Amino acid sequence: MPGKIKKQFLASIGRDNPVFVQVLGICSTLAVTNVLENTVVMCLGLIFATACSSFTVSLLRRQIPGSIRMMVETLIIAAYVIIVDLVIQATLPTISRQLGPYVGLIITNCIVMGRAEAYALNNPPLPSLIDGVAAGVGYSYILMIIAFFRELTGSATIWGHAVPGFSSWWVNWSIMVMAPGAFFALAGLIWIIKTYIVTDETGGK
Amino acid sequence: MEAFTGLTAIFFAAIFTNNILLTNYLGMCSFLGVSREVKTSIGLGAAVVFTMAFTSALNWLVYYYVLIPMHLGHFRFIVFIIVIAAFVQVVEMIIERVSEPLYNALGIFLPLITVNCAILGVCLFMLIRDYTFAESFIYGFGSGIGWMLAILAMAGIRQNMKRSKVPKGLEGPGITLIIAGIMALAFMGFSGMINI
Amino acid sequence: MNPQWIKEKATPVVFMTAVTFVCISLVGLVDIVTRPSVDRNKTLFQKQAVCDASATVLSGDLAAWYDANVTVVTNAADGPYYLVNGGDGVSRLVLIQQGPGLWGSITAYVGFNRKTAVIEGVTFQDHVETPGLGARIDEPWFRHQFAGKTGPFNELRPEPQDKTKGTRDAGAFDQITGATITASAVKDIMNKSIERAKALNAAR
Repeated sequence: MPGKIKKQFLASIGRDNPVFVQVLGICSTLAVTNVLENTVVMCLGLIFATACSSFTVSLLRRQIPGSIRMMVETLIIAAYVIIVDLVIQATLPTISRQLGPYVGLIITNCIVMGRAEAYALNNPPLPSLIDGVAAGVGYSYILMIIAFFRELTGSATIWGHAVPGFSSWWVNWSIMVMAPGAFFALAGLIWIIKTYIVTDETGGK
Repeated sequence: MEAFTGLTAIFFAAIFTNNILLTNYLGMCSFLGVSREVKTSIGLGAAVVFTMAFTSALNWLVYYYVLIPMHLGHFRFIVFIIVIAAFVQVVEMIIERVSEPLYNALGIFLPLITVNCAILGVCLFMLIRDYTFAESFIYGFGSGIGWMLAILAMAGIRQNMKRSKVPKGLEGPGITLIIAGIMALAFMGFSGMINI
Repeated sequence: MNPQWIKEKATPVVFMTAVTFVCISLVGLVDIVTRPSVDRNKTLFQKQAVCDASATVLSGDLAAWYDANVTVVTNAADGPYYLVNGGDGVSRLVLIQQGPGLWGSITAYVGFNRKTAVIEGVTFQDHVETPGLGARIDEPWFRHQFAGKTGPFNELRPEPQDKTKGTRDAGAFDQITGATITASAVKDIMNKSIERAKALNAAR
């Protein structure tokens, strides 16, 4: 069992990573990658939502009638996302204010629905839970890399703190904090990864 | 007169300065997936404009006349997504019965729209910005047009560079993202043109 | 009622109802648990803004100070404003003023001394100005320069016109390089709130 879990995790992080393979699900989260702290909160919320909704859908997989499958999945995802939203609002008021509507938009994040559809519907609860966490982590670390570079180059800070020996002379690239920066950063990351790390081009759809 | 200028400003701001795709990254999935050809982009774009305008108005009514009086504001995510899904279904049924050519043109795109984050995004933004009913409708309509404009421009560019040489690692999504970035830069030139 | 009908039509409806019921109860439960802190946090920023704009140096809990010293006046024609009990016996007037910025509207809280009509403090509660340029209106050096002035403020004038005077005129304020529209929006917001404060003081 542990070997299988490890394999699942590695697949989500590397070769099957939804961000490289199809650039799925970046909508709601890319917007908050200009500050690392917000990204981390958002990613934790996303991992929670993916894991729990995969688990729940998998528990109910024998009972859900095929015709209303999507509706049930959406409902379950929405319930978890509301929980995430409420918890963030209650405990992290500053971050909740900056994230604005983006927490709610996790509902329409393709990855959450995608994992529920593709994996949880045909697998037992525990593997589904692990699959959900793995997909969430695989997705999150990429956004964190992007957020790290955007915050570093755009505001010369990490986690809101100045970096010793760097912030003093660095001229902020304002563009990295603004909308186009996210597109360039993601494109650059995909370029690097596709050229040096995931080189075999089997599914370049 | 003032109300009219306010609405016009919201409309043009939603298209240019606050383009939902290029400044809020919403609706990226279908943007990257469908922007290969101009023809399909027009179909999807039109469907988005239509759905966005009407669901934002519908959700505004639901939120202020049903959810708020019943103190159920926290359930807005669930209710909005269900309203959007139901609206798309109803429209699909009506179009199928009324106009065959229209159904052939738009039909396949409608199911895609339910999961388009831009639609839900518009509904959530209109609440945060405290828009009135008319403003919400105009905002939804403008955002739809803005989204359509972006996907059309992208499809046009992608069609023209089919034979261009692109570094291997950048093929597909990579180069599309870079073009989107340049487009976002260009749209930043509109800043300050409209004051809302 | 044949079994076919039950399987195709009734089961989905019953199932959907059950799932909805469970989800709603779950969310409702979390809502009840988090409600107190969510409600407290919702007003937190507005209270903090009133506190900053009235230049109050807080020594204890924000909410307790707010409840004891702030009254909201809602009957004014151009929106509600706050009356803050200053420590020195003079009350402060805090106005909420909105105006169009570069990307979207800017909401400012401007505090005035009720007696001398000078500006006590300014905070920009809501804005979407360009990070690194217009968004620098949040920085203390920019906000604090208004304190102690009465306005009205005027457009950017880099050098005093009359060099012999050596000082800048009363309406000048330090602006941000590269953020002309934001600075001009801030100027309008400040001047509008000064007008309103004058009217409110006169009506008293």
